[in-house]
Parts: sequence; C-alpha cells; structure tokens
Amino acid sequence: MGIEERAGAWRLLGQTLESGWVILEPVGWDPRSGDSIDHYNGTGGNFSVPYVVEKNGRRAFLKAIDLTRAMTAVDVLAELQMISAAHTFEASVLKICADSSMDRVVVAIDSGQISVGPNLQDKAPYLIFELADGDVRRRIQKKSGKVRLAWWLRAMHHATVGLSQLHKRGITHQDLKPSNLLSFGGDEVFKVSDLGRCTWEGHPSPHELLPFAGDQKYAPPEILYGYINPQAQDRRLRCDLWMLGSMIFFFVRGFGTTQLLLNELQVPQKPVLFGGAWNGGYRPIVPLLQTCFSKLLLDLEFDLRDSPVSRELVKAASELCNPDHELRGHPLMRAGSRNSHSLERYVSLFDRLSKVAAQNRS
Amino acid sequence: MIEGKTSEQRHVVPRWRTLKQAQFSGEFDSVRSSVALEPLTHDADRMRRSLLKDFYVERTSWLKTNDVLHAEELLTSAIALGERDEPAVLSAAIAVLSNTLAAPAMAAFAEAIVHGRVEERILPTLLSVNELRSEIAFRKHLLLLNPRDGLIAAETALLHLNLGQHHKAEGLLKRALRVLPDHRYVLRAAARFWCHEGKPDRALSILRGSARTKLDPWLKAAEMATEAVAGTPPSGWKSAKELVRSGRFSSRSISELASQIGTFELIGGSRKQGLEMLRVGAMSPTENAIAQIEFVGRETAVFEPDELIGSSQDAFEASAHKAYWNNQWDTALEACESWHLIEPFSTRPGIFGAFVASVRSTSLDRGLALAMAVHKSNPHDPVLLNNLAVIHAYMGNTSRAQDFINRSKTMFEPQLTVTQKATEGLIKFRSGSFNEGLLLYEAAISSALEKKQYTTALRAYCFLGREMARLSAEWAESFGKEIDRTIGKLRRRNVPIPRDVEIIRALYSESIPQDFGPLSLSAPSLSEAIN
Repeated sequence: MGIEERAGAWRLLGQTLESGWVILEPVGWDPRSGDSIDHYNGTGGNFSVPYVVEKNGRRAFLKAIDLTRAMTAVDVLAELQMISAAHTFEASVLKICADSSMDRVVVAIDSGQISVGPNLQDKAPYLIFELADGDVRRRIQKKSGKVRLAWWLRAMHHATVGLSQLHKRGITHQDLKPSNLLSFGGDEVFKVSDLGRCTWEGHPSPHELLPFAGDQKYAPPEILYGYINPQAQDRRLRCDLWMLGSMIFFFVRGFGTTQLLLNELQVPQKPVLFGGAWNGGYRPIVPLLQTCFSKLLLDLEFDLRDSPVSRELVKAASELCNPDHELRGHPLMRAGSRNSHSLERYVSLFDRLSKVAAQNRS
Repeated sequence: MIEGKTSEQRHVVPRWRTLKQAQFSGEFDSVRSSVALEPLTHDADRMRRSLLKDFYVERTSWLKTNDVLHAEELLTSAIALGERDEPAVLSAAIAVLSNTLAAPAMAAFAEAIVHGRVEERILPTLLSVNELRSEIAFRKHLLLLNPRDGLIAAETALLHLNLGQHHKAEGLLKRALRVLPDHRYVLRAAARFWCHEGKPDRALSILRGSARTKLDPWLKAAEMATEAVAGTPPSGWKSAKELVRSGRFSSRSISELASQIGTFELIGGSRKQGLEMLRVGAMSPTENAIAQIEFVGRETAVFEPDELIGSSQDAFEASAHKAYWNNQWDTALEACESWHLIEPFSTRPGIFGAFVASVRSTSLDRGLALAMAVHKSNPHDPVLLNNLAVIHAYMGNTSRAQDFINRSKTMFEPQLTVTQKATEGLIKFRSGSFNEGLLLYEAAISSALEKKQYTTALRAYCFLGREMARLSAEWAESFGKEIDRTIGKLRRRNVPIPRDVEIIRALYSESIPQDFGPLSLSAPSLSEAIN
C-alpha cells in the first residue's frame, strides 16, 4: 500500500501543528514507500507513525496514531474503538506521570489531533515526547572498560527510579526492555519509555485481560509456562521486577534473562510458545529453571569478575530474576506483609553502585 | 570370588546420574509429553505468530541496514526462538563477531552460530579424585549463588558419594529434599542413596511421603523396586498397572514401572501378563529397564532377552551380563567398566567386573583398577573387599590379599563367612601353604554344607579344584569328575547351578600344572556330603 492510500498519520511531513510544532522528518521509515527501515523504539510502535518535530529550535518526537489498519479491518468500528481506547489510555497515563513529576519516565510534552484531509482516516491524533539521544542498546555500543560499567549502572539506577515512580501510582510498565530505556542529555539521564503496554490499577486498560502485555521475549517464566497468578497486580509487579533484573543481564552479557534461560533449555523442557515440548505447567519446571538460572548467575559473576560491585550485582540479579515468581524481589521486602514488591532498596543499591563504579573509573 | 550380591534379585532401583545424563534419559520430561502436544490456545497462537513476525521484521531491518544493532536484535529473537539456521542469522552473527565491543553472551551465541555448537558430552566419563573435588567445589559455588537450587544440591550429593563421602552426601540430599520434597530427580536420588546405604525402609518412607509417587510412573517404579529390596510386598499394584495402561505417559516414562511389574508377574508365575508388561517396558526403555529385562529373561529363562530389547547406546549392565553368558570375557569387562561410569558409587559393576577379570586371569590389572575405583566410594563393602583380596591373590600379591580379606572380615556379614574362609584358603594356596589352604577350603565347604547352602559349597569346591588343578593334572581330573557328579545330583533336585561354577569347571582342562614338588594332599568328596 502506497503512502497516498494510507491514513493521515503517514502524510504529516511538512505540516505545522496548532501548537507550533513543525513536522520535519520521518523516523525509521521511508517517506516515499512507507516501508520500515529501522525501529524507533522507546515510545511504542503499535499503530503509530514516528516523526521528528521542531518548535523554536527545540526538537522533539511525535507519535501519530495510524488508522490505516482500522480502514481495512473487517470490523472497522471495533478496530477504531481498540485504537482509540489504547491511545486514550496511554494519553491519560502519560498525563498522570507528568502531573506526578515522574522525572525518570518519558512523558508527553504535547498532544492533540491534526487532519490532512476531509475524511475520518485523514485525521491523526498524536503525542509529542522529548527527543532522546537513543535507546541504551545503541548507546552502550560506544562504551567500553570501566566507563561502560559506571554508565550502565547509572542507567539501571534511573530505570529503577522510573519503574518505582510508576509503581507508586499503581502503574505497571509490563514492557521494560533495552529498547524502552532512553538516554537524554548526552547520557546524563535515562528514562523509562513506552507506556503503551502498561496497566493502571483500578482503571480499565486495553491490555488488562492479557496475562502479559509486553514483549514475550522478555517475559518471565511463569508467563511462558502458562501460569496466571489470579492476583493481577501482584502478577504484573513481579513481571516488572523480572524485566528490571533482566536489564542487568542485558548490560553485562548482551541478552536478557528470558533469552538466556531459553538458550539453556533442551527442547523437551522449553515452553511450547518457543518451539519446545513442555506441557507439564509452570510449577514442575521451576526446579530445572533454578538450575539453569544458577548457571546464568555464574556466567554473570564471571563477566563481572573485575568489578568492585560484582557480588552485590549478582545478588540483585538473583533476587529480581528468580524463576520462582514467589521468590522474586528483595528478601527483606518479601518478608514484610506490605509493599513486598517495593523497589526502594534497589533504587539505593544501584545509586550507590553507580557511584562506586564512577569513582573506580577515574 | 563371587560375581555379585546374589542373594539379591535385581529390581529397577533408580539410577542416580548427573543432571545432564538424567535429562538425556528422559527423566526430566514432562509426564504428559508423550501425548500429542495440546494445540496452542488462541492467545498462545497469537503470541507465537507475533514472535515470528518480530523475527521477520528484525531480519528485514538487518538485511536492509547492515547495522550491528539490528544484527544483535535479530540474534536476540533467534536465541529465544531457537532459529539458528536462517542465512540472515548467520550473516548477523558474523557481523556481531566483528564487533569487538559485543557483550560476552552475544559474542558466544554468534560464535556458536558461525562455528557450530559444541554438543555437550552426555556419555559419562570417569573423574579423578581431584576432578571430583573440583566439580564439587564448582557446584557448591553455584549453591552459594542460588541456594534454592535443589537439583544442584542433589547432584553435589552424588559427587560426594562417588568420593565415598557418605555423610556429606546425605547432608546435601536432605537439603535437596527440603527444597524439593516432591521432585522426581531428588526423590529417585534419595531412594537410590538409602538403598545403597542398606536402608531401604528409609528410602520407602521418603518416597511414600510424597503425594507425587502415586501419580508419577518414574516414582512408582522406584517405590515398587524399593519395596522389593526391603522385602515388603508391593503396594498399589492396581494403580501401578493403571499408570502403565493409562496412555497418559510416554513409553520412556513407563518403561521402568512396566519392567518392575513384569518382573513381579514372571517371578510370581504369571507368564503371559509378565511378558505383556515387559514388552511395554521394552518399547522405549531406559538403560535401567533394559538391564532389568535382560536380568528377568536370564533368570527365568521364559524368554530370550534379545527378543525384547534392541541395542542401546548406554545399556552397559545388560551388555556385561549378556557377554558374560556368552563367554565373551573382554567384552563383559569392558561393559562393566562403562557400567561403572554410569554410577561410580555402585558396588555391583566393580564386584562383577573383578569377577569377570579373574575368570581367565588375563585382565587382572583391569579388574583390579575397576574394583579399586569402586572401592574409593565404598571403602567398607565386605564383598568388594573380598573380591579385591581374590584378585590380589591371583596376581601374586598375597600380603595385599591378606590385608583386604582381613578388612572384609571386620565387616560382620554372616552370609559372607563361607566366602571369606574360601578366599583365605586361596591366599594360602597362592602363598605356597597348600595344606593350610586346603584346610581352610574344607572348613568353608563344611560350613556351607552345615547351613545346607549347597551351591555355595559347590562354588567353594570348584574354586578349590581350580587351585588343585594347578598342582597336578590328576587333581584336575578327579575334581572335575567330582564336580560333575555333584552338579548332576543337584540338578536332579532342581537346584540351579551357578554360572561361574560351570565356567571354572570348564577351565580345569586348560590348567597347566606347575611343579611345586612332592605334595601329600587328600581331596575331599563333595557329592557324598550332600544328603
């Protein structure tokens, strides 16, 4: 389908929004064909078209909602309703984040709607975000040696703060992964982004009926093996803990915990979703996952062997990514009856470790 | 010399192997994995399609951009989905390898794709004491990193047992049981351990303490085998058969249970039902089930084991016995050596291997090495000590032989007194004290006859004959005749003749007498002593 046949979101180049933003260039797609040539991650790619915009010399990122799929859907109204609900929900969560001054979460700096023609599909609701330097996957490729450790520990600290800020408002992210942790200000600040898959306790969300709304390649084992903890908020918080811990493995080893765990398993024990043959449910596989996880911790420890913060990092990884969801989280917090998923101790830990690593760098 | 702990019938007491080997044998498969996989639910199907779509999007991005970031993203999808054969994955892996800053796991995965994955060696290998210690230290470090890893605790217990550190093994096994009280591997390891320690009642109480035992054919097989070892009647007979016939489990998962039930049926005289069960057990048998079927076939002579069981990569116990019965001594010894690697702590391959090596006395050094390797894990096993004494005596190391038999005698084992006396007789013979040797053999034979242990008496007599045949051809002939008479008499009474008696008897004619000077010995008669 060419650009002209697509919804208005694809035809915004050169347009000026009411608020004064000028749409400058597409991000990660070819403006002639509409073909994707790159991902721009960090603000979600589902049903949206990304651009760079500018106002008064300040550049930002615009995410326009794409109605193309709704135009060609069998049930147009249902599809429109779904896209609309997702956009409205994300916008409302972003507003809460902005109102709560969440400084480690990427929040919208503007939102609205633009139309490039007289028809419904010519309209494009949009959200505008701060323009990031990039996500941590690309940024870390430029770091090496001791600088690298201090750099990613700061990213971990900021990610934990961001997640903690969300949790305090009852929001679970559900899709924390390297492409959703963005760098700003020349790597001084990192922020958690893409709330398109999040849930908000007490508020209906488009994904609330899914056991897990995020990227399955980063999902914790209880999800992969089909266990659905009926306590929905508890389940989601434990998923967030897993994905936060998974970032440690990513920064040190290059893969997240889920991918490393899957790589350790033989076909008879792998989840069916990933081409395996295990159909015995979640609980019976946990002991073998623990054994695979021990190996992952050993590898992590080995790769951190020259680091002054190795022991504490491996311990944090072992707590955040325990394959047994009931054992996930800080032991002292789990021991208490309230706030067992609190990230406060990890906020302090990563803050301290990043400072130690920074001192050690010089 | 004795070939094994013959008072014990064989049962499918679980093997206790390393985690990797147990995984390879199917012990870690989900119990329902035989049944055709359930179709993906709508949600799972949607997720699977979404994962594959992501994979193809990442492949396209990589091919269009040649950007190493996209190469890494493609490998991230590939490692999760197990997609390694795609050409784009290979080119992405090559790109990642050229990036000197690639993270270690990313680089290792890329390396595995480019140069092929090195398959882990599944067949067991013999570890030296130092290697064992190093493996234990490695696992203890893993336990420090992840104290909830019950399987590693159980595997570490196994390594301690292989070193002969029974107390440490027990401690770690208890720890594993605390963490994983219902896990198949841990429960089977516990059953094996306490049977090995001569405490089958303890093994039974652990197995029966888990609700899973009634539902899992691997555990039910362990329970029934342990009951047999403990001398208690099998429990849950009907439900055990139901587990086999339910169709809910893979052929591999029910092979040991079916073999154990088949053993009970055949020994109990139910030939048809026994064979039916053994056939089920032979469909996709574990190494343990193969050894069981081979044993039952040999013991009952109801069927030829080869009719039921085909060849298997690691069926060393069965191969050892089969070769022994076919007089293939070298093959039998080789199979014993491999059998020992499966369970280095087990005494049976060492005892049997030492016996096999000593029959023709052509591979005594290998028999000794095998028995000593087993002795490392079982320094107090009286049968093994006895066989070590015998093998040393045959090698001419009579003082070492005397040392081992003395240690064997300190382990009070009433059933062994006849054997130990005969071994002492052998040592005297090999020391040149023929009269003393003869007296000790005669005492052993009399003792056996008093207890009406005719086959034991015959065995001692046979070994005495072997010594006498070394002195003169006449002795060989007269002992041969006497043994033939005794065998005939016992056969008429339907007493089974031990295989080793027939083998040793057949070797008399090959004996080349040595010149020991004039001797005044009188041979005892056995056939007349049997009333």
